[in-house]
Amino acid sequence: MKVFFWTIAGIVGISLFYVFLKIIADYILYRKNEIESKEDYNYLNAVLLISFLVTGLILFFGYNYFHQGPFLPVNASEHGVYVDRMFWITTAITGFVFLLTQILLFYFSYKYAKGKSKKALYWKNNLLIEAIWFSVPTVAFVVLFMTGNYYWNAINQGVSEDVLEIEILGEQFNWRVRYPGKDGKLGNYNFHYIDGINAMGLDLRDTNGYDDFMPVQLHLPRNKKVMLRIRSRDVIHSVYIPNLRVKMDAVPGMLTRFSFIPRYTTEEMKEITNNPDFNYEIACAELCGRNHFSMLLILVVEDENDYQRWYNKQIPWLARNSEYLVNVPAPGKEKAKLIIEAFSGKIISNL
Amino acid sequence: MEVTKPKRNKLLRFIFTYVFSQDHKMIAKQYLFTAIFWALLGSLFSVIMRIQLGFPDADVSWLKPVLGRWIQDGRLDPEFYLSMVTIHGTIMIFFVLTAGLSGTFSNLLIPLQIGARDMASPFINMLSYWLFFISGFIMFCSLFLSTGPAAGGWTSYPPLSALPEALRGSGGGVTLWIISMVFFIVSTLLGGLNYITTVLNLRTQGMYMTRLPLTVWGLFFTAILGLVSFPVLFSAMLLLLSDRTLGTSFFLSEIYIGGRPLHFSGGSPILFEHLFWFLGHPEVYIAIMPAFGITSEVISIFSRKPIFGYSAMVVSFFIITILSALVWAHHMFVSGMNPFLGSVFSLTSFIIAVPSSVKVFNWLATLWKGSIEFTPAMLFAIGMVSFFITGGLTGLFVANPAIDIMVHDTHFVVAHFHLVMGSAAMFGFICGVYHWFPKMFGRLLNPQLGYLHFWITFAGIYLIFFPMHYVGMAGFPRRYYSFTIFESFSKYYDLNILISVAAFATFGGQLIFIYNFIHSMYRGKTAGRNPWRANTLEWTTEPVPGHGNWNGSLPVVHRWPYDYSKPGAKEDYISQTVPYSETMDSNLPEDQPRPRGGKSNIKEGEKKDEDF
Ligand code: HEM
Ligand SMILES: [Cu+2]
Ligand SMILES: [Cu+2]
Repeated sequence: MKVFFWTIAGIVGISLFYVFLKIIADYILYRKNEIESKEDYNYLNAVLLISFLVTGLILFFGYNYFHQGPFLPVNASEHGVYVDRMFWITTAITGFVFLLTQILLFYFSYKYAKGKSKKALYWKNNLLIEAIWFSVPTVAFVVLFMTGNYYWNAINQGVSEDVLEIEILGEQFNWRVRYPGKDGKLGNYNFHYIDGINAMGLDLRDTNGYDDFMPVQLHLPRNKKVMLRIRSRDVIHSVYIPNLRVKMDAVPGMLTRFSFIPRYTTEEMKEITNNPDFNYEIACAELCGRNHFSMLLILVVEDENDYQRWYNKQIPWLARNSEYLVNVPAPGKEKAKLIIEAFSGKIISNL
Repeated sequence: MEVTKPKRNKLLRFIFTYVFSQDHKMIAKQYLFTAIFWALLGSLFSVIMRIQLGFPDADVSWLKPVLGRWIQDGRLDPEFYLSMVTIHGTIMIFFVLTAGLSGTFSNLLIPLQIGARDMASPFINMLSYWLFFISGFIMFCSLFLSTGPAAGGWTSYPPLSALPEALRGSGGGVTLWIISMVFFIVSTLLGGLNYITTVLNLRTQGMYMTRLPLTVWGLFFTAILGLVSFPVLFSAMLLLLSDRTLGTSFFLSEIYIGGRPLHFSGGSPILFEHLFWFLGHPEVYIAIMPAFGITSEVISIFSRKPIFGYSAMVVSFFIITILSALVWAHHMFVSGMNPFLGSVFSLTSFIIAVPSSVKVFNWLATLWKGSIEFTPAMLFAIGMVSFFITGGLTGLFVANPAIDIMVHDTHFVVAHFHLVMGSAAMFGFICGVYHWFPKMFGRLLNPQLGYLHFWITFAGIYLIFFPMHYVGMAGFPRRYYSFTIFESFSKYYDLNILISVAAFATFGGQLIFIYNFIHSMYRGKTAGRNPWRANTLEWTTEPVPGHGNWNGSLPVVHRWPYDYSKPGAKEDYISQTVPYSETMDSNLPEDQPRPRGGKSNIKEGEKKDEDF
């Protein structure tokens, strides 16, 4: 079927080329003999306009018809259904208006080209018609707005109780993630404590953070509400997960959030997308410098069991970097030591 | 008036006629030439970007003789790519579509179409051009810095644009960028003040506001909008400069970079985003409104029909001017701003689409039952409407935060704004050049080359920007040096090649225009007084008017500018200077004389209005 498509493209190309040659030839003639061929050109342009419309529409429909695979990345999040639905509703409405107005534009240009029609109509205004085309778009746009706003509110609805909070931090040019330990609470962040090892600025004055861990990949359980707490430590970045319809800026000096529910595991997505190499990819969507285009972090969505298994293997950051114990203030020392000891065996067995 | 110039000294005379001219028509040409220079450079930069995006794996060592150290190991330097993106955007938006478009046509058309001898202040007018020139000169110099020009995007969000540690171009590059913008803003403000004053005060006798051509209305509202919004960018620039040099923390806070925490605290980059977009959104209307005006005028003339819904057009301009200052945060739906604010700005963004739709319908209604002459200007006007429809409709996607989550900062947005603003406004600009070239140089541009130029550009732009929607829908983010790192974004190798090839061809097509322009300036067919058989006042002057525009007294206006194909009239056009008393056969009931106190400007011994 592609053949059909390219045949048409070829015919169009050749005819355009012919027309160009004709215009150039005429231009040379014109320069030589000062011929006046205005009327011809009027007709030629009218025909070209209508053919442009027709070929444009054929290419447009042809391309969409023969397009392989989905237009938007396969959606795998609960709220993404709203995003996609809104997208396609808008496409339907604007698509209709697009076809209508473009067809009228080119058709009128062709139909009323000089020479073919009589004298132009002296028609200045018509209050009724103008009132209609002030009010019909108004109604249409307000309806679009209200639908969109309904979904927007649904996407942003308040955070429920049972939610997994994970911190994600943008830096030039990496994403870093931090999970709460068994206490389920993330420790505080403070950029003053950032250094080569404490890259996520864990504030050791906050005892909640002693059991936090920082894996190299983001793992999420399926069908559980996740809230990303999004930060940046240098410039603005933006967490962007195409398949989950997630996008939220990471702004230095400010905490932003985005919650969502992933519905399919990575394995399931491999089947759905028919792509054995599929991976959820996290990208950066706000220009952040030289390697903005390569801030890739892999996200793994698993079922609850696999997730728990992975989770239980993780070792708190403090246990891995026990030399930071000296930075822990006196009230927290006991708790910190306990955590380090609890995991010391694990670290050795991991080695 | 020329006589007052020092005649003996040829050099001085040359300088005051061509360089430090205070004649609005010469200043218009200066703007035009400068804009063409910048447009070529800006397009050349986009060609470099398209080489990179279309052929991300190709060896580009062959560019080394031109780009030197920005090519390493056969690869374009990623930071240089970002510089190209940034300077391309800045040039196109500010230098071409703001200064170039408004500057050329406000200068050329406002005095000529309202019947004035010059701008309210010719001196400030000249100053405004030269500030723009300096601004461009500084930007041009920044291209040759060893650390490269600004690279943080035309939006130049801090902290990226504030910290040289974050990006090399944010050193000297951004300093020069800011200084250039400061000059630019002052230039725009001086120009705008002048345009507004001129329209309000220097209209000739009988030229009531309700009889202004739509071009003048468009340029007038553009100037107002610029005056409202550019000062906000000015303050953002000063605060950014202060953060960069004085160590203040307006936009910066809690930053760890280059291996150490910085002292900034309490500032917010979000504040900069608000200030920037308070200009940034009106800016897109500053680019498009002159194009609206030009298109309306040209479509009416070459359909040989009155523009449909003149008052609806003016009302739409008015609503757009007001609303465009109230939609800025639709660029910030996912910036961490309160979602409720998102709803508010989404609503205003949808509403501003109404006056834009009305304009499109009015243009269509003007074409209906016309008698259309396809001059190159007319073709470009039709192309402008087509682009505006295509690009405007995707505005309904990005105005909706529920969709914007997906498409924000992807090539979908790049496609949207290039069609609705870049291409549509650019076509309005080119349309104006074809149409008023005779007024500037007394000669016509060659129409055949014009057709060639139109068809290559029109088809080319659709081939560039229509496929880009698909690339954007797949999720490819903008300002990416390459899509190959992510499997998600690597879906459209073929489309990216198509886009790039189309971009090269389109760029090539512009050379036809340049040739035509230069050739016709000297050798083109002479135009005569009124080559398009149009009604407005600029066609009542000598073919190439001297300083002062009209020999003898100023023309007196008796009617609106769109009396085309009026039933009963001898010709299919009636100039604004023809009194109703001379057109008894074509007068309509509403053309009856009404006593009115309009602005009149009876100077230089003009006769009193003999209208009625
Ligand atoms: C020859 C036609 C043009 C081509 C091929 C072209 C191509 C491009 C490309 C490839 C980008 C970078 C996309 C990215 O990586 O994010 C871009 C950005 C941009 N272009 Fe164009 N462009 C053209 C004309 C214009 C015009 C006429 C305007 C005037 C409004 C314009 C305004 C912009 C702006 C504002 C940006 C964004 C810069 C930024 O992200 O900071 N372009 N263009
Ligand atoms: Cu980034
Ligand atoms: Cu906007």
